[in-house]
Amino acid sequence: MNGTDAVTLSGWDWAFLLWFLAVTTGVGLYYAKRAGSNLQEYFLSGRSLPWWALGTSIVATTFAADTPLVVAGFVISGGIAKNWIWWNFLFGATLTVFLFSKLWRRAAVVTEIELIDLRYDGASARALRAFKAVFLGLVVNSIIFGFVTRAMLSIVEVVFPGLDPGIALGGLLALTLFYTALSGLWGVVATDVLQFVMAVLGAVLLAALAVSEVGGLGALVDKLGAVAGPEGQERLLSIVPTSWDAFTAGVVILVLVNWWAVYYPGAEPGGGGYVVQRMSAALDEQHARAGNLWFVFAHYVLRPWPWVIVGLCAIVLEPRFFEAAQLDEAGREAAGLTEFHPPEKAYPWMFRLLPVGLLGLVAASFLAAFMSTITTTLNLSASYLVNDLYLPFAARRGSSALQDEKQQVRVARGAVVLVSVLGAVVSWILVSAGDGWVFIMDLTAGSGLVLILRWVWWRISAVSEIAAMLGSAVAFFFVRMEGYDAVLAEWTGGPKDQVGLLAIVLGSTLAWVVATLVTRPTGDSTLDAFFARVRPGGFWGPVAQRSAVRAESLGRDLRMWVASTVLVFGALFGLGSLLLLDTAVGMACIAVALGAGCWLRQLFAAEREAEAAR
Amino acid sequence: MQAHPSPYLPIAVGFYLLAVPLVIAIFLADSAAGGWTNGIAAAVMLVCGRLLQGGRR
Repeated sequence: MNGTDAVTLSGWDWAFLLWFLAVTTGVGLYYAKRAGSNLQEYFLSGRSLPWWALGTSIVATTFAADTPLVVAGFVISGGIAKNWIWWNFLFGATLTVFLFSKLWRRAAVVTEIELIDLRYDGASARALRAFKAVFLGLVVNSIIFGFVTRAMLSIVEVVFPGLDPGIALGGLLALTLFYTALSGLWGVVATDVLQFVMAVLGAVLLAALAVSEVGGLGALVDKLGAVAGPEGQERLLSIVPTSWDAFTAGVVILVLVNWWAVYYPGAEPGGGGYVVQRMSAALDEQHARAGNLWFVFAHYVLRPWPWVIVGLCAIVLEPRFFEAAQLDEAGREAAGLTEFHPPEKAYPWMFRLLPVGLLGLVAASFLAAFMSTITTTLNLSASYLVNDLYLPFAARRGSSALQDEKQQVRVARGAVVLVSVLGAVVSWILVSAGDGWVFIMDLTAGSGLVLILRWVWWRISAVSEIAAMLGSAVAFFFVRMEGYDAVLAEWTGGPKDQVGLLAIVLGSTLAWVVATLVTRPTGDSTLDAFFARVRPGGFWGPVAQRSAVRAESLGRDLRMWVASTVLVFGALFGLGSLLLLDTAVGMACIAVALGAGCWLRQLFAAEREAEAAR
Repeated sequence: MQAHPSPYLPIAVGFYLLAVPLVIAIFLADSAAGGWTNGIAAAVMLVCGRLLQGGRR
């Protein structure tokens, strides 16, 4: 048996797969009539989503088909602590929950880009809105579409051997496009809920079978020591980096900078993309915040541990995955371990533990993860193109399309088809699956702080956002394209990627701060209307003085942010430590999480009192 | 505003339908693990379906 051995699906597993596709499509299509009534239904479910549906939909979208493979691969190559590459985004996620989710719902926008019209004015605002509609709707989302499709192509080759990957994926995309175009956001959310439960269930049961195969959790910990040695065992199991090296320095920079600076899809500073779309679709402000909090908890606490456990069990059951990950390419070739690299191969390798039926469910959960990301990407892209490009253009021309809601939905469905075609083209163009993410993250690094500050400082204007994006792009060109990141890394002794990130952020920040201070602020009437509608806390100086509206308490919201961050980190590390039988650390983390939860409850009570007194 | 039937019902039906092949797989399983894992998966699907079936808006 080797690293490329494929697991064969039985006839019953194939039947489950087909049954899953039929059920998903049927559920999605049920909502087609409702979605066709108007754009509010098509893009925002008529603003009727309860917290559990919107939060589940966000978390289902956030993990793509290859996410379990990547997380298990992180564990094999760098230990559990390597997950700080994405854990650092938790700080921004809880900030969005407690500072911005209520504000987004109050703004009552259809897309995050529409906020530009409420918050800024003038020609710069109109240009910014149109640019972002094209940039996010066509460029960014096509890259996301292409990225997840390329990743799925690799998974089809491993999980479904014998199928032509191109034909299989083409058929899957056609089916997904069919029900997404017709069913609108309710169809997307409903299928997301089904797909999320399947994906989590499949991962948990695979982890349980893997632990059983190893001989239990105690045996897992012991056998990791036998494979990796005492130091290797500590490195594999530690939830924080165990030594000061380039990786640890990189993690520190990520924790200090990444989450507020980088516009990472699904973790946008201040909220963005499909997170904002779901919050805008919530029943009310409380559902928006609760749903977003459920997303954060499910995403960071519940979701990763089954994948981590499977990765650890793979090290024990097939140590050659671990050995291959410790060597460079030449070393792997010399040791005959090339088939066991990259470590992402380990997760599907573990499917051999799955019995008939469950194997079909787990294989279907990969389709589910892929489809949930694609459906949201298509619906979201169409919302940008229709709400922020087509409708403003039609309004300026005095078009009759503004009165014909069914015509608007037809345009939206056409936009879904357009984006899917563009995404398919991009997926063929992308040389490697990583190119798209790296491009988006680097190109937008540094623009995140403006997106946060626009809610809390009256002086931020459309010019600030434009300068931040231009500053990022120019800095990106010099730092990444001209290779100054390597020079800076050598000069500072830090890791190239993260030092380069710092340089881009610095360049962008200088650009928008100067541009903000030397240009005129947004006009009073626009700022007053925005303040009255959204009631944001923070530094609103003359705007707050002119208004009779009582704003949110920024101090209380920041305390909620701290409490919730401690709560989620405590639960994440507590659950993991208990699973890995580090009882003392686990209980301590859970105690900290409970304490933070009590603090949060007090803050909720204070908020209710303030609302009652308003 | 136009009234709609509960939007949760199709999701509940979806869970019930997905449970069907898992229940059958319990009897097809050729190992003990096949029995209990498919049983748990089917039970979770049925519970989710039941919870959503009772959902109102």
